[in-house]
Amino acid sequence: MKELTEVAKMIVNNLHLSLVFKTISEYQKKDALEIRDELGLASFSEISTNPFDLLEKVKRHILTKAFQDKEKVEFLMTVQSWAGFKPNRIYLETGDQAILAGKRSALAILWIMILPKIAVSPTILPSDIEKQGLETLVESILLSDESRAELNQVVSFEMINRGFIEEYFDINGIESGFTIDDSMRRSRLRAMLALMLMKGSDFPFDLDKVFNLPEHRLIEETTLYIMTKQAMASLSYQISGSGSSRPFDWPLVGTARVFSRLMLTLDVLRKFASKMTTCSLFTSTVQGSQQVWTEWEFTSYLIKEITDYYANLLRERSSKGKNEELDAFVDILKGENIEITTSVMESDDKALTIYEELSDCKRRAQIGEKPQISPERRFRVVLSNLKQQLTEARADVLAPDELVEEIVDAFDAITELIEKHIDSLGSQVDKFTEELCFETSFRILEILNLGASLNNLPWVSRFIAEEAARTSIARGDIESLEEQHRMKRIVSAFAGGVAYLVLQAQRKDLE
Amino acid sequence: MTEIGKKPLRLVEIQESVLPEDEWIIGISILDYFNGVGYSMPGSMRLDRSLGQEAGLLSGGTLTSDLIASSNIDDQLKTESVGNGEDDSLLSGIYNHEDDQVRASSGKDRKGLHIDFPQSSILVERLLDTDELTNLYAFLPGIFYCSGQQTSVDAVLIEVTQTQRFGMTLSSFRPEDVRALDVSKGFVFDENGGRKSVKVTVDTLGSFHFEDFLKDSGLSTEVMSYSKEVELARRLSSLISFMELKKAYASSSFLRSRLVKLLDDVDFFGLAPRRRIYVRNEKHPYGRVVEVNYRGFDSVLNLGVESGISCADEIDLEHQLNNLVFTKLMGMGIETDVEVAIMEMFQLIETGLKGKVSHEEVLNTLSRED
Repeated sequence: MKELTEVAKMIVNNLHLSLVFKTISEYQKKDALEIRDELGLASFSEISTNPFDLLEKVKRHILTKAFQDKEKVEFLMTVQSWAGFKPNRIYLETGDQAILAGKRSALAILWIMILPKIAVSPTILPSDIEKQGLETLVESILLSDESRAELNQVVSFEMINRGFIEEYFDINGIESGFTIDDSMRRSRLRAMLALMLMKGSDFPFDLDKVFNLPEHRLIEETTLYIMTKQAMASLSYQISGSGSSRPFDWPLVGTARVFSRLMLTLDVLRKFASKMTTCSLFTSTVQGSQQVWTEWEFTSYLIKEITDYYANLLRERSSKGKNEELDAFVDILKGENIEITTSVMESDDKALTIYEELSDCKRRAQIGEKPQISPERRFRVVLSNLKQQLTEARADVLAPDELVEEIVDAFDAITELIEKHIDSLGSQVDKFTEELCFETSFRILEILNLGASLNNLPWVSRFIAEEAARTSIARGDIESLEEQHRMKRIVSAFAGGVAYLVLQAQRKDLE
Repeated sequence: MTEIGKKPLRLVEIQESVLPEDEWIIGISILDYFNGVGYSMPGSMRLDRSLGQEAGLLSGGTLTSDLIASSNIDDQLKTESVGNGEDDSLLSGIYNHEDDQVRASSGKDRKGLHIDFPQSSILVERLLDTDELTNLYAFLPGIFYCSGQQTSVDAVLIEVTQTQRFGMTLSSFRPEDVRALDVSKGFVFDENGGRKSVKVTVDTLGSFHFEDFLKDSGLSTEVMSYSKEVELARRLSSLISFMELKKAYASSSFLRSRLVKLLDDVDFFGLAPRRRIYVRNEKHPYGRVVEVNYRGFDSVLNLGVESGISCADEIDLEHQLNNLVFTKLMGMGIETDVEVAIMEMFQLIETGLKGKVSHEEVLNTLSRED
């Protein structure tokens, strides 16, 4: 186990990797007057403004500056009150006091939030993550005022040594402007700090379960969050590569060596992730009960991560003309995830098998083969892909383009499914299409927590279809409105409606 | 009764397809009446009622089983069942001319003071038994304009049938397809290209076009990576918020063309019952406008005692209609039937519009914020 000073050295070493640190550094230098200026707060309006509102305003301003993620900011603004902290109205007398208290509290939060990311060097071997003294760090943050004071001192000292003269490390400010009954303070403060560290690791957590953990378990659990985060970062770092070594830069599909490293990292990830008890990301619901992912599911996850990497590549390159081979390759990987995973799990040399499977998919993609699955299977695969994508992305919001792509994928699968059965459906094609689209839309909206907007789906879809038809007519493109395109047009209309509702809701969240 | 006048009249739209060329129904109604759409009682309730009637017949001393077995009655029924299965206006016309006896008997109301003819009663009962009402009916009274038939009706009645295909349940009716339109605010562009909300009036109807938004953004076929609809939705989502989209819809030219049809109809025919109902059931899967008469309404004029709907074209439908019971949720929550609900709705609409039927007045009432 490493000493606290070594951990502190590591933190300071990695400060340059964090963009949030730039915000910390910027605001540590600003005094109340400058912040007032920046927010456009005139001093005469003070009498009418509640000092605590002023505090919140400054805090929100700094947090928003650091994280563009509205959900994260909202969480950090409310977590104190969840933990039972109340505004300290006696302490906040003047406006300047409130502004400085807000600043202090926001900066302390920012420090806590970046620690999970910078506490370990990015070049470390995944198997060494455990040995980086993360537990020592978490313990000193959560344990007591004394341990926190020691951490402040050690890190600040290290910063001065490394030439950070104007910045300082301070996490005690977290309570600034708040108060809580002394009998509860220690445990609540502990839980709140743990929650922030967990949030900083970007994993979803079950709030009630976290609050109920005893001290030693809370330290253990929080450490696991950070270690899992590091293992995951290492995994995606290995997939994306850097500089001249990009093992998955299409048409490359990695090498056996790359995969053996990836499998080792995956084992480390599994070791940490399967011990977490408050996080829902690595569990699946089987017949109503929550179960931790098995090795099979982690392997499937790795293939999915690689698939996502290629899908991103495809998107980036789409501006430079269509890349049909890569497109087919991504399709095959998406469609045959289960088959590939199963064959990898059955073999003795997993790394080699996964490499061979990918090479095989590449070969098939290059001769223009489509994934070997029936439309029904594809439909299910698309939906479960979508679900996984979305639940995973909760923490950091999915880009609009990716979201649209997933939605279009789901609806494309409907078209395929119906085309296959068009003869046996006979006169019921329209009705069946509508019903299937409606059902699928409902599931998509549900996954995104937008179930309530289902009521608006029919008219929004039709409105969009009407306007789209109008542009077609205006352009003289009447052909596409003919009878034989009805089914496709119904699907497109629903896809349009869902896309609008989802993107709109997302936009609203960001504002 | 004083509070009823305050119940808001709503513009109600029933759209079951998302394609622009497909059928739509738009109308004026009060959704509070049934708290949305009215659903008929399930079949078991009705069964109890018919059991009671059967007992009454038995006490009258007629042996029903013998009568049914006798040949001439049987023949009558066979003619009926042939007509029943065909969805052909020509055939139903032939059938109506021949079947005077059945019509005469079914015309009798069983509630009032009158002499009952046992034989014809049995025929009627028999008829009822053959088309057992197993499905729910969704029902919405009000003045509606149907695009398919290009005419206005007094109510919309849809049988909720469900069939299974490939594990999917195909339902003939979805509550989501019925919605109250908020036309209190519309959405136009001012001279400088800025957007502003306006009150929806006859003049501002249909003033909104997406092209105004998208003409500069170059929505051309070449650059689209998705279907036109998705591409449009993608752009819209960044330009128009959901609240704005509602307003945009209220002032879209598509809504205008529908609304004008409805307003024209109200202006021309006024607020009197049209004596037509839109019915969609297993027999008419694509919907049909059926001519009806309201006996209760007419009997006020000729001092009769009859009540219930009669529809000369379809004798079996008449029975179905008169057997439907709905729970009215406005006021005291009592049970009502098709005829009473339609009559009450007309009264409420007349009160709501204060008897005024011009385009401006109607639109004004419908777009009033409450």
